[in-house]
Amino acid sequence: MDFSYSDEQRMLSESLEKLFAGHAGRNEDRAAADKLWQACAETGLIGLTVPEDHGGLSGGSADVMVAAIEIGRHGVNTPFLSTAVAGAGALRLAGTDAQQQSHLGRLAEGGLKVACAFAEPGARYDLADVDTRAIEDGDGYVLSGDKCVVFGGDDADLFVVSARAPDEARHGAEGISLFLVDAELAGITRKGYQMIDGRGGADVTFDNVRLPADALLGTQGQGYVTLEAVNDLAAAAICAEGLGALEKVVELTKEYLETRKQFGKAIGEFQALQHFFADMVVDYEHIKSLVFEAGAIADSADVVERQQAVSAAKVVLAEDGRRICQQAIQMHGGIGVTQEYQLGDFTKRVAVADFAFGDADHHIARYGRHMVAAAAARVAQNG
Amino acid sequence: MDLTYGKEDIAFRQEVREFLAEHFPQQLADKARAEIRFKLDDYLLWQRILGDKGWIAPHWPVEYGGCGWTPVQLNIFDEEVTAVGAPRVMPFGIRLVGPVIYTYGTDAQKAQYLPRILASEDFWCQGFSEPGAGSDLASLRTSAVRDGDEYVVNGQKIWTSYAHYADLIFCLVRTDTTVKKQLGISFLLIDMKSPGVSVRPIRTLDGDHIVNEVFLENVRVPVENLVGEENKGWDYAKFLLSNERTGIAGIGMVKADLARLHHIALTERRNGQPLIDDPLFQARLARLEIDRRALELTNLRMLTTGGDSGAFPSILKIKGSQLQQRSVELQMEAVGPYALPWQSDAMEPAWNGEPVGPDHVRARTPVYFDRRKTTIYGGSTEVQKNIISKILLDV
Repeated sequence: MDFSYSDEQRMLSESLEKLFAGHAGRNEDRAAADKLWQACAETGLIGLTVPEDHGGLSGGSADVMVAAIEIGRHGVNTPFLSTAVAGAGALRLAGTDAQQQSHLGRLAEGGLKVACAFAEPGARYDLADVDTRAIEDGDGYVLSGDKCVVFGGDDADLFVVSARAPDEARHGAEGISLFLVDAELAGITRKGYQMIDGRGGADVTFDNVRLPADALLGTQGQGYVTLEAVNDLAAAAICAEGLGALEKVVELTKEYLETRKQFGKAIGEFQALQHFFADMVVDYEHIKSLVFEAGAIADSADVVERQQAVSAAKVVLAEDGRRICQQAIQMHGGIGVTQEYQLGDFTKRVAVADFAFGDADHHIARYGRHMVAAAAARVAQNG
Repeated sequence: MDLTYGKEDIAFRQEVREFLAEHFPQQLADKARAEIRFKLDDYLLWQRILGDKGWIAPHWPVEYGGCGWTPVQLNIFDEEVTAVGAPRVMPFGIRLVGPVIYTYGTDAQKAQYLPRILASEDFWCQGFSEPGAGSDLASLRTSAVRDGDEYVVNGQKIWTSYAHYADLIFCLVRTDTTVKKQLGISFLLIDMKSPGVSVRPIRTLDGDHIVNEVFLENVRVPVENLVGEENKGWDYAKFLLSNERTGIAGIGMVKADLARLHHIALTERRNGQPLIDDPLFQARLARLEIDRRALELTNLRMLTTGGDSGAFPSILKIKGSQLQQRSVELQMEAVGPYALPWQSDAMEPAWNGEPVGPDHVRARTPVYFDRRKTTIYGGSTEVQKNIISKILLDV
């Protein structure tokens, strides 16, 4: 039982601290962002989970967590989550040797941005609700459908797209396939935008996009397991980003309570605010424990363990993390609602973590299903 | 980072389980399952079994009779013992006064009291709170005036758990009224059979009698019963209270509560199906389980890393005490209208009436009311928040 960083993790954390110092996410122009992305590649950040054979560091989800906490603490915007966590994860978990060979090396070098286009309008967070269709056509496929709120979709070079055969009902875990789709192919339209915290996203339309046979990622019709696994990797990572941002929220609030004076004394001397602050600390520490657990086992082969840990972290990050941010803004008073002050940047990052890869309701329901299954199993065992 | 139990810990858990399977008395297991209140004999029976095994005070230093277990192993032990429904080892001797005596007491006091604590020969109670000194404990007024080789003690203590069972009481008393309130307090050990000590029961909302008022009228206490130095009692009290807060998260209890809640929710029905399948109920139970998980991990994180700050015991006390309340609150809601019949008496071992409703409904409302105490005792939630902000805020 050990909650502390390994020496390598401590070094990773410290090197990112240095790399990110001075990068304010929202104000950066394109050139600065590209430069940061290249610097990330040089530190090994993008290839963090890419196997060493392909030029990466062969890191696990715990290492991703360490990195994501720093990203959240510094509020930097990079396509780390879409490319290095989700994209690399999909390729690693389902890619053939040839697919890994042709993509993972470039990805690790910062030369290939990947975005996972799983969600669809009307499907909310249900990864099995897929109405995008892939029709077999000669040696390849023809892909049509709409994907929405694709992380990193605005400037991805490659999409990982979930789709199913045209004759199936749109809902169900069976029959879903994954495809690697070159973003430059004819028939793709993307509507790019910034998300709450300034990171890039897009709604993407695929209109009769012709794909070669080797675009299929993993086994045809059996992509759902990969979908879920990749979504859990991303969910754990964004929880870690949220945790890093929350650390800053608590820190900024502490500083403000200590320095802001009203009625002739520091407002941190007022008990009402002290108790608000204590509430924040209590919640923060419990969120931290669950985010650490999710980070430690988000890549576990034990699916039930993995899903429970990720869902637990996601729920507290969404519900209790949101409350921490609300209290922080309240305690800052007027300055807390200005765009100029940095508190807002961090609360917005927590808001992204709140709604991405399954919201609190989605994850409570998933946790509940595992809980009930376990209770039923205990009864069956004990009579 | 590795959040799994190591080989030694898994083996240790197995060892504890085997011991419990062999030595935890069936009569106590039956009482726990039926939710019959434990009485003095039950506590003593179990404590003496643990004492014979050498496991009664595992967290003490080995030289005084501790087990030398790691914090994680102590936690495993607590989990396993609670899981079988064992009576709680009374904290007053083992957890509270014992460490004060071996840390600050004289050799004579150690020789006199520690073995008897380990053998459960003395039942201790805690004389801290007074009618006018609750959260503001240092304002206590029970006085001890030196008269030759004795102190003469006068005053009143309140909320004294199990004073009606106790052989001895450790008291905070005022020995100097002329200085800052924290600097005039002493720590005194008093025989409950001394002339002038009387106990009056207080019934709590659940109908049970655990806490009492203790009156001290011209009680003569030998000076050798003073622990440490005169007027240094507040330091010893702070030491004691910090021990009280560790382990006060009550994780074992919350887990046992939730196991019972699962059982109830599988048995009770709503809209013709098991309550646990009802989406609203399931979501609330899941959220509770998630909070239990967070508490358990935070406790382990504190035990293995020492925590990131001295605020951790308070952080765990706040969250743990709230969960101890929410778990039994949801149990009560789970039985629906059967929460209404008041069956506190049915929890008494001597009761032989006819219970109303299924077995699992009797204790629900009394236990719910009983648990309101958890956010009050051991330093209320508000006092814990004061402590947290005092430690973390530099104002």
